[in-house]
Formats: sequence, C-alpha cells, structure tokens
Amino acid sequence: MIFSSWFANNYTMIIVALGAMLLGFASGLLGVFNILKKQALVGDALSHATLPGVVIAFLLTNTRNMVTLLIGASLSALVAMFLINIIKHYSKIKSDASLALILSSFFGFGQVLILLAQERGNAAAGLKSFIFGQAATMLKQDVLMIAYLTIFILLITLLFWKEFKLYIFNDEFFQSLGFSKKITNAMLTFLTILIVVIGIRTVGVILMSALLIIPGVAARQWSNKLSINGIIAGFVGMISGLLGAVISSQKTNLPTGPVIVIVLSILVIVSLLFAPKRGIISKSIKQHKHQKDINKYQELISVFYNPSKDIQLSNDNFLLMENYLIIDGRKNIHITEKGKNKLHQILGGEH
Amino acid sequence: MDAIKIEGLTVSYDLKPVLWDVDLNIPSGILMAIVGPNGAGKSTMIKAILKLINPVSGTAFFEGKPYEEMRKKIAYVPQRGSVDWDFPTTVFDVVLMGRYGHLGWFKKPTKKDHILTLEALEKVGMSNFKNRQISELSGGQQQRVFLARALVQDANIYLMDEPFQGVDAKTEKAIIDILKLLKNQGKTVLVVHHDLETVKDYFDWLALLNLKVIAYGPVDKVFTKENIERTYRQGTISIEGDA
Amino acid sequence: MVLSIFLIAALSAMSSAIVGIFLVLKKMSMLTDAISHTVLLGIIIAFVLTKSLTSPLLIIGATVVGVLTVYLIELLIKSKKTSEDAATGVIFPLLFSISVILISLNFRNVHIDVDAVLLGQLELADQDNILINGINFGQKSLYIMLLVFIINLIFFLVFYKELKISSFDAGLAFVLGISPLLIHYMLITLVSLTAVAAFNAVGSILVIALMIGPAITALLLTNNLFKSVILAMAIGVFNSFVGYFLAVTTDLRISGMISMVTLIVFLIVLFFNPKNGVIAKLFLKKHQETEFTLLVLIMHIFTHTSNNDLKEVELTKISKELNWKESKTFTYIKKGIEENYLEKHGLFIFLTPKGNEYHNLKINEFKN
Repeated sequence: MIFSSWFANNYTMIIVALGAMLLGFASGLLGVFNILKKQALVGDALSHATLPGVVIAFLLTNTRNMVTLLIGASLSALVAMFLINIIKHYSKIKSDASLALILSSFFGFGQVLILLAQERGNAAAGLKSFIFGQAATMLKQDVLMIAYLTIFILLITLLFWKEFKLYIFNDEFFQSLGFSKKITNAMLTFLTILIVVIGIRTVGVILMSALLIIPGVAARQWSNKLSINGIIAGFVGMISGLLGAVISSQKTNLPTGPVIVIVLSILVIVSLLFAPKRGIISKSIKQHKHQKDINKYQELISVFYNPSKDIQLSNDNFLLMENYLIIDGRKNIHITEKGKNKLHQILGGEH
Repeated sequence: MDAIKIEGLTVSYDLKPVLWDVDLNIPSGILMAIVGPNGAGKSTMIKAILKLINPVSGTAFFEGKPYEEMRKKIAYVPQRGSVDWDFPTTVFDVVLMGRYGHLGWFKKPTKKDHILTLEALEKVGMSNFKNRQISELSGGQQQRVFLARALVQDANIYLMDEPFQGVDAKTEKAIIDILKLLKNQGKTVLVVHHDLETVKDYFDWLALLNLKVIAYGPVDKVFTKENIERTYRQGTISIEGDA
Repeated sequence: MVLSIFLIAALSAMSSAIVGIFLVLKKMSMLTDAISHTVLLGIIIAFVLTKSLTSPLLIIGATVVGVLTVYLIELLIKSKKTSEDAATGVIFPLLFSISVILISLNFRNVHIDVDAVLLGQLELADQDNILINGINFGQKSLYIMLLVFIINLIFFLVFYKELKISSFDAGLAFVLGISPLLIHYMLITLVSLTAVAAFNAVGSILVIALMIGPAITALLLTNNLFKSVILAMAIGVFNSFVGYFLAVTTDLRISGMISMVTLIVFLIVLFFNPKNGVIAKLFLKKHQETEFTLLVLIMHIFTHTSNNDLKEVELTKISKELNWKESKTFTYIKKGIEENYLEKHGLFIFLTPKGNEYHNLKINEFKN
C-alpha cells in the first residue's frame, strides 16, 4: 500500500532514473571501444561541439522539443567530425590539437548563442541544462525517447560486436577477411555521436565524455576479456547514472552531470586500488607477501640456483622437517617434489 | 596453374614509386621468401595484392581467379608490430577471430569454429596458453598465435609479413616446421623475410625485391652473390633495369 | 576602457601562444582542457581559505591545482593502467565536478556565475581598477596579464634551446644534461599560471582556444620554431582584434567571438594556404596523379620499344599489360600525344624524342 503510493508520487523520478541507468550502461559499453581505439577524447570534443547545434535549433524553431534540439545537436556534431577528419587528412596537425580547438571554439560559439537566446526570451532557460545536465527536469516522453534510442544503440553494438573487436584490434587483417574498414568505422562513429547526443541532456556537454571514458577505465582493471570489460563498464555507467540522477534530483540547484561524475570517480578509484590483479593495493599486498616468502624460503631458493654450493642446514631447519629438502647418505642436498612445487609457487613461470 | 600470378604491379606512395612493374609467377606447393632491403616494397607488395592499398597499375590472380573470388582461400599474417598487444583479449580469442572471414557479417562463432581454434592452437604448441591475456606473451608466442590464426582459416595460400622478426630460435624452428608441413600439403606460402642467412635452409623459392624484381625462382638458381649485391646495392635501383 | 579590454585580450593571446606552441609540439594539447577546468577548483579552495576573491594567493593556489592535475594524470599514465588520453578524461572531470557542485550549492556563499566561469567577463574587466592614493592605475587584470606575459616571454627566451630540444627529442635532451622533466614542469606551471590569469578575463573555454588555435595556425605556415612562436602571437592578437570588433558590432560575448574567429582563421589558412592547404593539395594531387600515370605508360612503352618487342606496343595490348580499362589507356595515350611525348603510327605507339627526354629526366629524379 505504502509502496504503491510512493511509486505514484515518485513516478517521474523512477522513469528518469531508469533512463539514466540505460544511458549509463550503453555509454559505458560503447566507451570501451572508443578507449581501445585511442579515441577517448573524441567523445569530449563531439559533446562540446553539440552545443551550438542545440541552440541554433532552438533559435530557428522556437520550441524546446527534444527531438528538434537533438537533431540540431547531431548536425553540429557531424560538422565537427567532418572538420576533425579534414584536419587529420590534409595537415600534419596531430589529433589532440585539433580536438582541443574544435572543442573550445564550438563550445564558445554555443555559449555565445545561449546568451543571445537568453536576451530574446525566457524559454532559453532550458538550454542551460545542456551544459551540466539536469535529469530531474526532463519530460517523461523525452526520457522514453532516450530509453528507446539507448536500447537501439545497445542492440547495434551487440550486433557489430565481433566486427568492432577485430577492426580495433587489427584493422588490416579485418579488411583482408573481406570486411569493410570504412563501414565499421562509420558505424562506430555514428553510435558515438548518437549516444553523445542522447546523453547531453542528462549529463551535460562538458561531462558526457566522462560517462564514456571512466567506466571503461574502471572495467579494464577487473578483466582481460573484452566482453567482461564491456559488461562491467556498462554496470559502472549504469550505477553512476542511477545514483547521479536520483541524488541530483533531491536538490534543486544541483546539476546531474557532476554528481554522476563523482559516483564514476569513486568507482574508478576503488577499481584502481582494489581490483584483484591490477589494483594498486592488491599489487602491494602481493609484493609484500612475495618478499616474505623469499626471506622464509631463502635456503630452498639457494639450493635451487646453486646446487653445488655448500649450504649448511641445521637438523631442525624447517625445510628439512617439513620435507622440502632432504639430505642423502653422502650429505648432498636434494629438493623434494614438495619443494619443487613451493619453488614454482614463489618463483612463478616455467623452469 | 600458378598459385599466384602478379602482373605489372606498380605502387606509389606520395607520388614516389615503391614498387615498379612487378611480375611474378609463383607455382603452388612451394615455400617462397621475399627478400630485399628495408623500404624495398616487400610489405607493400603483399598489401597491394590483398587490395589493402591501391596500386597505380597491375593486378594479381590467385589460382587464375581475381582476389575477391579467392579471398576465403588466402590467409594473411600481418607484422606483429601492427597490433597493440595490450588489447584485452585472450590467445583463444585472437585465433578464433581467424574464423570471422568464414562467418561473415553479424554471425556468431559456432562450436565448429571453437574446435578448429583448439586444433590450430595445438598445432602451434600454444594449447596451454589459450586463456592467457595476449600482453603476457613473449614475441615468439605472439607470432605463434598469429600463425594459428592463419591456420584456422584453412587456406590454400599464406602470405606472411616478417614472421621471424624478433622471435626466439625455438619458435623460429617450430614455425618453419609448420610452414614446411603446409608446403607438403600442397599449399603455397609466401614469406617476407629479413634474414639472408636462413634463406637457403628454409625456402625453396626466392624473390629478390628492390622496387623491382631483381630475380626470382628456385633458391639454388637465384641465391647468388651477384643477385644479392644487385639487390642490396646502395641507392635505388633504376626503374628501367640494368643492361 | 575599450583599449584596456583589447589589451587584456591581446596579452592573454600572446602569453597563451608562447606556451601553446610547446604544448602542441609535445602532443599535450588536451592538457589545456584539463587545466582550464580544474583551476576553478583551485580558485574555490583558495577562496575558502582566504575568504577573498582578489588575493594573490588565489592565483598561486589555482596554479598549484593546475600543476597537480597534470601530475595526477601523468601518475596514472605511468602506472600503465590506462592510455594517455583516457587518463586525462578520468582526472579532470572529477576535479571540475567538485567545483561545480560547490558552486551550485552556494558553498560558503560563493557566488560565482557559471557563465563567467566558462566565458569570462572581459566586458567587466575595467571595473576592477587599482587605486593607489586616489590615482587610477588601470585594470588589475591588465597588470596581472602583463606580468604573466613578461614571465612567459622571459621563460621562452632564456630556455629556448632547452625547450627546443626537449620538445623534439627528450632522450637527447637528457643526454645533453638538460632535465626534460624540469623543463616540462616549468612549462606546465606557466600554462597553469596563464590559464588562471586569463581565466578571470576570458574564461576557461577561450583559454584553450587561445593556447592551441593560433599555435596550430602558425605551424601550418612555418616549420621554424622561433618563427612559429612569433607568428602564433601575432595571429592571437589578430584574432582578438577581429573577435573584439565583431563582438562589439553584434553585441555578443567578446571571448566567445574570439574563440570562433580563432577557428575560422585556422580553417582559412588550412584551406587556402598556397603551400599545402587543402585546396592546393587537391589540385596538386590530381595533377600529380595524372602525371604519374602518364609516366607509367611512357615507361612501359620505353621498356618494350627498347627490347625491340614491337608486339607489346600495339594499342590493344597495352591495356592488358597494364591492367587498365580500355578507356583509361585511350585517355592517357591521347594525353601523351597531346604533350608530344608519344606518337601513333598505325596500330603502334612510339615515344617521340621529347618523350625519350622526359623519360630519362624522370628516371634521374627517382634515383634520388
């Protein structure tokens, strides 16, 4: 009873939260590919570049219809992408510099247009929510559209999974098998632009790139398999989207983007520190244990590396007592099977 | 019929010729080395006949047919350095990717593909490593994985770019044994090779390449002091050839 | 008032250009994105500690945060846990988000306008004057920016050799006794300082454009390091001038207009540079492709004529030999005849003396 009334009261927030969850999942998943392609910051440039498109769409049509604004966003992102490619193809300017210029100039232009729009009327207030994101003020149908598009992105990503994987890993081999580099690259770019455009209302143009990059970085610490990477990144994005949307909606002045990023950052820091194999803390614990082992079993190790060297072992040495080593009739020391296993454990690798 | 027939292949890069008027008739069932100085166009030739780059003129036929028709019967092993080995994937996965050509767009690998992958790993001696992350492999192990990826394609023609580069002696022996086995099965193996010392031991045929084909044919006939000097002489070979 | 605003913009542009060139050369352009976002946090922290928005401690504190940001990014990169670009994208969003949340929650009554953060308030720069003994010495921002410019300039001139070597070859620099690390962090400190100083006037977005835009425009025009710095400064000033003028005419934000002009000027140079602009390249490429293809034809005919292999030079055979479409062969034979390199006798094509000469000329060219 109580639950159903809570549900009714918070209906909008639940929808928003679900939308943010889906967005986070798709963004994290897709982001893994962008990171591996060494194009992590392209998402940053593209998301900043959507701003002028959004505002121009608003100025031209005078509506705050989400579809219109997102079409505007896509168009200006496409123009930015086009320019980035031209610069890469026709000059020796490296990609990071062109990204920085496109990012700042497009965004600056967008900002200027927003101020212009503000002078013209009050409807422009909504445009500001594109800068840092404001999930709570989204309309239900907007959230639904975001949800549908996100599911579409997820399906296409899954469809093209093996193609994306091989294309990014070894594009020439990929081509030699009969696939098209051009089509695959275009598909990846298309999906990236789409997720950026969908996400900017929730996360904002400035921080959208974080939702693309950080989940992938976190996931990489936990797994060496691409599919697991993708799933973990998806979940990291999903949790951040959910918590970010919910928490930010509790306070009126709190934009969603930064809150999502805080959650993302906590998750990535935890991953960097505590992931089982690669985590900093895990590594240092392993290192410490390894050092202790080397000290404890040093005679065993010496015998292994210097079998002929004369090593004195007292009769109550634990290595003898516990059967890691035996002394034969002629006072020669031998390593037992147990000793060999222990050596293998400490020294690792193949002998 | 020739396994590979290259006619008048000319490739340029930035308007300078990299390959000039290359003609090669390569019979099937041989193990052939392509040798020449750095920048001589060896990798370029492989890439051009695989249509990875566009030639200015010339073409290649495989068993008499154009490349597109024979694609599934041709396996390419790129240079090891062309890949970022930090990519999160396992040995098994890399070899499985060799089956993608047979699958085509969108289809997922089947049990049969998995079995073929395991068999290929067995052939190159990497079965124990199948779940290993590729960044943990040595150079020789990486090369074996690349070879397995080619084997799994069940091709007639193998094109390999510097497979022995940076590889330990044991692996080199293992690889050349597999290549000899392929040859004995009637396959054709073309290898861009960098080490003159091992040419006579490993290969039946040899092509000396430096912008143009200096000489090609059975190793005994082609591997002469004179030919090698002509190939490795300082300065580019003139395009119209020597009298 | 008008002049001083323009001067602040121009000084920001020149200071930024100096450090910007080296950032671009060292492929660290995106650090400007990171630093310009995180200096905001530094300003907030310094404000909380000093309770004043005008203390010089603010500038120092913010600069330190900027340098710290880069240090953290590089730490992450060194740990090999992620790639370079991803590392940047992990660090700065966190620091920036903290700032934004603090501002939004009106933390300790900090009232900073978001627009001002991003776009600066160049228009209001003339309200913060220095008054000593009742004499108006002019805008504070102006003096700060002038000081920063002088510092950057001195740094550039004094450490020119070291900067040059460590930008192109860190290994060599080390061997020569120059510490690339020291130069690197001095550069980063100045980038941070410049970003903070310019921040108040032009906002974080324009800082990025000012550092990178004129620099890459200059690098399209020259390969000489010294010239590129001077040129970048000049272009930066030019962009500021045009941007300011446009902003005043259209009544739009000055800093936003300058960043737009920066992009447009870059694109104009990119496209219309007679040396290697896009249009020049397209032109040249088409011309050279044609020339090269014709050469292939001429060489083919030369080879086969020399061998007295008249059969090959028959018109219909040429297409097969070269694996060209009949139409392509026909077109190029026609071209060859037009240029008087080739002549046609019945069904056969031969080289003219001019064609022979041309052939030998090209052979010699390729020998280099």
